[in-house]
Parts: sequence; structure tokens; C-alpha cells
Amino acid sequence: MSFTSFEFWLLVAVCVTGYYLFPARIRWTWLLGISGLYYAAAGPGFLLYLLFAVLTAWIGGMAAVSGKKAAVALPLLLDFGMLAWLKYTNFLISCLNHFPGVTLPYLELLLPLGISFYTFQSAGYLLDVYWKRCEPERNPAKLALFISFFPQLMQGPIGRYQTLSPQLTQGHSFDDTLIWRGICRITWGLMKKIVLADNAALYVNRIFGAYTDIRGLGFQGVLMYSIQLYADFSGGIDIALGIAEMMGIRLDENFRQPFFAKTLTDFWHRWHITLGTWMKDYVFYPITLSEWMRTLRQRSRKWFGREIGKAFCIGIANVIIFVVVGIWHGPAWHYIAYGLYNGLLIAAGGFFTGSFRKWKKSLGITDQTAWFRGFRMLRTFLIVNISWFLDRSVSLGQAWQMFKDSFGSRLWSVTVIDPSDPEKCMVRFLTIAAGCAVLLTVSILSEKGKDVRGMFLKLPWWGRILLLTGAMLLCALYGNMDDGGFIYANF
Amino acid sequence: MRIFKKLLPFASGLCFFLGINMLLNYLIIPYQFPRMKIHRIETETFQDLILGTSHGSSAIDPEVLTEVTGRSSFNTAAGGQYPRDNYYLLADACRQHRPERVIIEYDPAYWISKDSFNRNARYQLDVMALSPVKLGYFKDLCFAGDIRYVLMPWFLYNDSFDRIAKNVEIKRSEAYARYDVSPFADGGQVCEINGFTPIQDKAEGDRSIPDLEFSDENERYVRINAEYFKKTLQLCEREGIEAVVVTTPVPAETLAETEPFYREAHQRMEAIAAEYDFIYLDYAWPSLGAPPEEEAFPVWESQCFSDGEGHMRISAAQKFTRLLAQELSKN
Repeated sequence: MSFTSFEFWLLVAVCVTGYYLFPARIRWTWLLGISGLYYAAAGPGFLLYLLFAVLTAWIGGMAAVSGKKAAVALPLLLDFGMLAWLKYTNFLISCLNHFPGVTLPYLELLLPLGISFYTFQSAGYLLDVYWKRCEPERNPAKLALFISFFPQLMQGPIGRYQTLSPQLTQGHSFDDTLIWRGICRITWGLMKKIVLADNAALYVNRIFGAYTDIRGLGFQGVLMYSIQLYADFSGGIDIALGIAEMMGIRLDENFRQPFFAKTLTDFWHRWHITLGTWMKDYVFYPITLSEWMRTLRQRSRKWFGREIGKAFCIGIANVIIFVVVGIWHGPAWHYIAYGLYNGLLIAAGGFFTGSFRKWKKSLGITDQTAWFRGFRMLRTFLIVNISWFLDRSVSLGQAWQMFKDSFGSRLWSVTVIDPSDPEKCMVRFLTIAAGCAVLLTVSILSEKGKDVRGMFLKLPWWGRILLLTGAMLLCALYGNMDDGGFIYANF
Repeated sequence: MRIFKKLLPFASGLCFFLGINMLLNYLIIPYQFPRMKIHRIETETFQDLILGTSHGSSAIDPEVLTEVTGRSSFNTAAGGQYPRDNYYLLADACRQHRPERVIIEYDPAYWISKDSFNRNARYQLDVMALSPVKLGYFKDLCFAGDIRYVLMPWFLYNDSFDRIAKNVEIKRSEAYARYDVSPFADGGQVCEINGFTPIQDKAEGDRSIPDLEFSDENERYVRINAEYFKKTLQLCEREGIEAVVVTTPVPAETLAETEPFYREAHQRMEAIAAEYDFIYLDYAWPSLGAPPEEEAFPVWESQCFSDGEGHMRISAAQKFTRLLAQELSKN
């Protein structure tokens, strides 16, 4: 059930109305029922996987209070084992088939909707219980709601049990401000998705799909992919957050103006924030605080000195994290390369921190210097865009070929999506440009700490209606017609 | 009372939004063939009703059919009309003016493609008289398309704002009130009052051969289309309507290039024919077609068609309709 389908919005309308009609104490069961219905619509068989994740988390959580490692290791193994089996078996088979004489048949495995997201969410809960950050949930139905809450099921954000579960079960009272805020966020998300992402996708699909025929447009392709990916993913998250907000539930923010980042590390603190913090809490810290890492840190300090030695260990942990992130994106070498690219650059940044500091001092530059801030943003934007060659291509060969071809004389083409209809191409292109201008304005205001939705709420009610209707009409007018699928729903 | 006051702006907003959309629908959606077609099948009884796609609309001439069979006939086939649309068209006709026989044109290329975002189906729904059939059609379209398709059908015409003045003028004209076909000539389209949409002999379209194959990816579309096709056959059974399924000819070159596809399409329809007991005449595939008389099922050369997909030119269409009518008269 896509976010742009009629039945999804019918479900949302029924869900929100029903939520406020039911007595507060049973509202969470209503949410659980709707979430189950939403998931069953994707395929009733998929419910079994979700049920499996809920059961392992519930039983594992009860057992994890004992503090025994095995009690948490087994359910984690089962959860991630299922994910790995469904997601990576055929990749492994394809790797093995490269060996002479090996011809293993591929398996017909269907990836259940949102499995990565709910696996991460339930794993986080298990580890939090094990580390005594929260009490185990005794009611399996309440835990099921935490794992399967429908707006976030498809592409996140990845929620934390301590903050999300109490909100889900609390039963909030009706507040029209929440409804307005929710509708505003949903409309903004839909605009990003339909007007920006779906139009940019036309360029991305064409340039990446026919890269052997259309040479030299690699940078246009990755720039459009930046727009598509950000508008698609953050638009979907806005919709999820808006739906939850209408019922008084605040999900975690997943983006914070990522293209204003000044370093790659900063970018990852602003992009897919909930995955980043999940990785930090449940992978990075356990690695850096582990026994073997402590030993390595001591040795590396001896070998390289205090500063480099420390950066060396953090660098290793970062490379591991980003390789995991790469693998999480999908079972393919180009995703692993994408993870390595990010991990190695961040690690390298750590090594050169001291040198950069000295150079800046000698040149009299501070981080607050306006041109230097702009330069850092541009540099980070460029580094991120280069990484998209690896993320969007279907193979390492394609990524390299496209990158290499990008340095030719032809850098840009508005009509590449349909050379026979330049007028239509220009409308698409100007739509993307205008959409980016609006997005940039809102991002600047948000970066300066302004509450943009607060400004919307200050308008009289008829002004809000005019604005929302105008936005919806723009979506219909300039949006691209496609299936309405979201990129991150595939992960 | 307080909660009512809080909800009032949302209700007003919804009404405003729907009102704006109704206005845009009136201004932007032009007068098209389906309005005339639906009006005729809702107000007149035809002995033979032709259902199908653009192949059927351009290849089967009701005038020739009536001349040979002596039965009244009307062609409702149109481009972008999927089995779902045909089912509801027939159901709408059956409410008051049930035909004796339906000739269902089967274009397997439609069966392997997704059928949402279709101007024809959405317009057809708008112009149907209010009835349980219309509500059922609306429900099915809601679940097939996206939210814009359901709530804002004008967006399907977002490239034709320059026609607003013309649309209003036509919608306020006598011809529109009379469901006349004369306004269609203005837009470069030609549709006759019997539903036939002839393609002139000199018309030239895209000669490229479409890429056609049954695959795992499009199997779900085949399943949905087959489901509605079977519903149409069941409706025929219930209403005592005779059903004949016809695949119109395609250029020999297209057939040569896409042989496995047309062979499989034929076999799939044969299987359904065995289950539902109807006559299936496959003119696309002479070697697989029912009675292998060469004269009755000739191979159609490319000059009979305006494009590689197989839209028939008028001369060939009239010849073909005559052959079809003779075949129908035998049964």
C-alpha cells in the first residue's frame, strides 16, 4: 500500500478518526489493528515474519533481564539471521557461482515490507533491555505495536522503545493544532515526493539506465539523484511523522538539512539520523569499548603516538560501521564500496584533523569565516555526490564508467528525458528548479531555528486551507505520474 | 459544540478542495467519445455490442457488421480500455438495455500492462449515470489508481490548459447537450455515431514493433485483467448474453517478431474458452486460429495497418469486419 495510493489515505482517515472516537485506554489496540491491516495488505504471508520478529523480541526481552549474554544473543541471531537469509542468500550464491564448477540455483525469496526497519527496531529494544536502559515489555501486543506502528513500518524512522512505546499506548486527547501540524507536514512530504523526487527520477532513471548511450551526464545524474533521494526519503518520513503527529505521537526526526553539512561526519549526523544513532549506540560504541579495541588502542598509541593512535581506532570502527551501512543498503558490491568510500573518508578526516587545524591557524581561517563555511559545505556536497555514483549504479563497473565519462565536454542536458519534446522537458526541469528553490528557502529557515510550521499555524484557518489546497493542486499539476513507490521502502 | 467548532475548518477545507476540483474538472476535461458511447448504451438497445481496445475501435465497423448480419450493433471499444472498463460498460448497458451478443475484442498487449492513470476509464466513470454499477466502478478505480487519479482527474489533462476556453464553449453548446459527435472533429479525432473510430488509409504512425512478452513481472497484471475478463463472461452467462471473443489481425512483421507472445496469448485464451464455452476467433494468428481457411483468415500485410502495433486502416478494417460478420453469421 503506497503512500500515494487512495486506500492508504482512506486507511489514515479511518485510523485518525477511530483513534479519537475510541476511549483513550484502548486506542493503542486500534492502532495495532490498523497496523496489522496495513501490513497484511502488502501480503498476508509477510505477517508471519513480523509476528516472528515480535515473538523473538518479546521472549528475548523477558529473558534478557537476567543479564545473560545468551539470552539476548539468540533472539538477535534469529532476527538478523532471518534478515540475512532473505536479503543476502542470493548474493552469496552469485558470489559462489563465480568459482569454477559451482552452479548453485538461485532461491525465490521475497523480502517482506520494511523488514530491515522492524528488525533494527526490535534489536534495539532487546539490547536496551539487556543493558538495563529500559524494562522489558510484558504485554506482547504492546510490543507488537511498537515494532509494527504502520506509518514508520515502510521506511522508518527507526524508533526507540523508551520514547516511542509510552506515546503509542498513552491515548492522546484531540487537539486541532496537532491535526493542522500533521496535515501541513504530510502535504509538505507529498510535495517533496510527487513534485521533486518523481520529476528528478525521470532524469536519474534515464541517465543511469542508458549510461552506455548517454555519455558525459554523470554529474547531472548524481545531482538529480541528490534531489530525488533527499526529496523521496525525507518526503516519505515527513508523511510518516505527519500521520503520527495527528494522533499526538512524535516520531524521531530523520533529517536535519543534510546538504548544509560542513563535513562528511556532519552529513551523516543530519542524514538518516535514526539509522546513524542506531549504528552509533548499538554497533560503534560496543566496538570501540570492546576488549580487543582497547588493546588495539593501547598498541596503536605506542606505534603512532597519542592523537593518530586514537584516530586509527576510531577510523577502524567507522569503516566497520559504514561497511555495515553499505551492506544494509543491499546485497551488492557497489553498496559495499559505497560504505567503504564513506568509512575511509571519515577515517582519513580523523587522521588529518590535527594537520587541518594547523593549516587553518597558519592561514588565519576560522570555522566561522563565511567563505570558508561555504567552501566546506560545497566540498561536502561534492564528496556526497560522488558517493551517489556507487549508490545509484547497479554495478561497480557502471559507477566507474559513469564517473570517468563525466569529465567530457557534455555536462548537462535538459532534454535528455525526451529529446522529441523539449517543451515538456523544460517544464519538468523548471518544476525541479522551482521545487529546489522552495526547499532551499524552507531549509535555510529551519537551519536558522525558525519553526516553519509554526508560521503556517499563525495563519487564519481559511489561509491555511487556501495554502494547503494550492499545494495539493501544484502536486497534481506538476507532479510526475508514477507508481508512487519510495526508494527506501526497498531496503 | 466546542469540538464541532474545531472540526468546522477541516470540513470547510474539504468542501473547498472538492469544489475547486469540480470546477477544474469542468474546465480542463474535454468532451470525449465515452460520453456519447455511454449515453447510447444507456438509452438504446443493440443486438451486438462490441467491447475492447483501440484495436477493436478501429478494426470493427458496426455499419458493415449490421449490413452483413442484419443485427443492430454498436462499438464501445476505445484506446486504454481494459477488461475492467469493459466489464463495467457491459454491466451499465445491462441495467436497462441488455444486448443479445457481445463481441469482446481481446488485445493481449493490454493484458500484460498496468491499467491505472487511464484518461478513458476515468472519464467513462464520470459520465456514467449514477447507479450501483457506477459505485462499483468507482470503488475499483479507487483501489487501482493513486490519490490524484481518484480525487483530481483533471490532472490527467495537465498538458491541455490551452483548451479551457474551447472546452467551456463545447460544454455549453447544443451539440454537447445532444451527445453529438461533431465536436470531436475539432480536436483532430474522428468517431462515428456508431462508435467506430476509423483510421484513414493514408494515416501513418509509429512502425516500430512493440516489445511483448509474458513475464513474472507482468503476470500480476495478467491476473487482474483475466479476473475482470472472466467477470464479464460470468455476467454474460447470468444475463443470457452470447459472448464471442475476437483478436484482431496484427501486421505479419509484428507477428513474426513476437511469435512466442501471440502463441502464448492464444493458448491462454483457448484455455479460458474451454472453461467458459465461448467462440474464440483469433485473426492475429492464422496458423493457430480456429477454422484454418486461408481466405477467411488471411495474413495481413503491413499496408493494412497504420502502425507496428496493428491499428487497422479503414479499407482493411471494412474488409476485416466483413470477414468477421460472415464468420459470426455462420454460428
